[in-house]
Amino acid sequence: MARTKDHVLVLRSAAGDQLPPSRLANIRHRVWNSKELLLTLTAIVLAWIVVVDVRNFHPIVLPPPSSVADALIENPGTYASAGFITVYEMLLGFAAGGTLGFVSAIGIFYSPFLRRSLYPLLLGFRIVPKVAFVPLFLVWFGIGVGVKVALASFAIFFLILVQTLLGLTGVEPELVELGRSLKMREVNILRRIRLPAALPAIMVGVKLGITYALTNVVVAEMVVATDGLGFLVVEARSLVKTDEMIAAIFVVAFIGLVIYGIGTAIERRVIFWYFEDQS
Amino acid sequence: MTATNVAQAESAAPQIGEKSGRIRRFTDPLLFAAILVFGWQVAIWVTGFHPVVLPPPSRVFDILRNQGDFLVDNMLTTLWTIGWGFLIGGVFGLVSGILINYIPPVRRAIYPVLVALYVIPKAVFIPLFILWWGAGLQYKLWVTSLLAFFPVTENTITGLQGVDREMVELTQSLQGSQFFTFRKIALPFAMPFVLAGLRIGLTEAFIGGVLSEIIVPSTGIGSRIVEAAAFSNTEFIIAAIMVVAAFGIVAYFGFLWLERKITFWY
Repeated sequence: MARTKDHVLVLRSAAGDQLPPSRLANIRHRVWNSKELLLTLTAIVLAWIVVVDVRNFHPIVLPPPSSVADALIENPGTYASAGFITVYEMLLGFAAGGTLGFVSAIGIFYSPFLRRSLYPLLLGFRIVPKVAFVPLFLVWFGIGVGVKVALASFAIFFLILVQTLLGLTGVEPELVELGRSLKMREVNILRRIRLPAALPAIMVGVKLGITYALTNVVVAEMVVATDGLGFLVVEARSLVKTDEMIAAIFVVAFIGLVIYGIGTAIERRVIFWYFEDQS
Repeated sequence: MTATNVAQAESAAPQIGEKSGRIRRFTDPLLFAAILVFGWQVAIWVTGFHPVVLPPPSRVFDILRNQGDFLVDNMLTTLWTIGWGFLIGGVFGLVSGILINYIPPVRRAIYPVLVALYVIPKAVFIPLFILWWGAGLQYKLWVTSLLAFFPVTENTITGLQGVDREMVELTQSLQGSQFFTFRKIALPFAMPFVLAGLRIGLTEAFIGGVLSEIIVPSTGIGSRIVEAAAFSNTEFIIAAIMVVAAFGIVAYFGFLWLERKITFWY
């Protein structure tokens, strides 16, 4: 990867390269610390209260923040247990799909036929909403935890697969040549050269994948509707308890943010060298 | 955002290779698909799955043949929603991206919220939207445009942010006009990002369109899939998924081609 300080030049270099995240990370760092953020959040909550008051929204359409907070405070157990179920399914799906995807990607990488045939199929397949498979998985797995984990693993599998492939194909040939000139066996080349070089791309997959797994699990819960946070949302809708619904949405949003934060932290930890290089 | 980087890599990656490699790039996937179908049939012969669990390819192809029109009709209905959602979300995303980038107080205020919303599963809002707008076209448009809006905005901002400061300063010292700088420097540089963002937005709109039909069935192919599931009509489900995949692949690669056409200087 052409490690220049200039964004523009980096873009022009070989395929599989990524924009150095550190500069973006700097921007983001400054942004997250701004006072305006707090101001905006307070403004949103205030606007919410005002709008409900002024426009006289029926509490079913848009409940005031107070009733949403009430719903959360009165029944923390419901949301917590549903949250645990959702997170548990998500982690399971991520572990299963991620491992399978990673291993398959390595296998596919080493077969030029597979690589050429699957690459466009996989890229195009990404646009297919994996949720379309929920009815199919329902037929296969019945109602319960299995469906949701299956959907999440299914979705993650493809994401990690594509990302690992991208990473592996983007390794600089010079690095591999260096390995060969040192008479390293292919296994070692894989372990010490290709995989570490592919790590940034893989980490992107991990970071996006965790969020993606959450989305899929929540969606599956909304459709299958037995337990979990997605179920809470749908149940609240059928009971026409909008405050509980918004409360569940907030819990999902909160978990999503935490998950993303964890994903970013993992990314920083694993490919710390990638960030250091740029500044 | 790193999603952009993914998109960047994707748009760059498959183009490399000599001519014979590129021809085989077309034939190999087809060959693989044929092998897959064959393996599918063999698997059914060997394991004797009940046709409800895994129908043989012959049945699925039957459905594709006999109900092809029906499937495509519904898919086009869904495509209508997706298209409009993508357009609305995309335009708003572009405008917001530009505005947010060039007005610093707005950027500091809104950008974190944007990133936060980008990260949470937006599908979670669907029941809320159903509550607000009923189960019809309107709510689907809201879902798809919302889903498309975020990637476009995020990537536009990233693209505009990454413009080399020195180039901007140099241009401004030579020409002076803010708009000129924007047109000649910022826009061409940001273009790959913006287009990648639009591509991701298209993907998201697709997902949103089908998803909104699955959660509240009304019209479109998502609803048909749900109906078929109620009757355990697995071959229909698989056939419908294939139709969605076909349309999706065409749309995705079509957009990719467009992207390369526009950013040919990269």
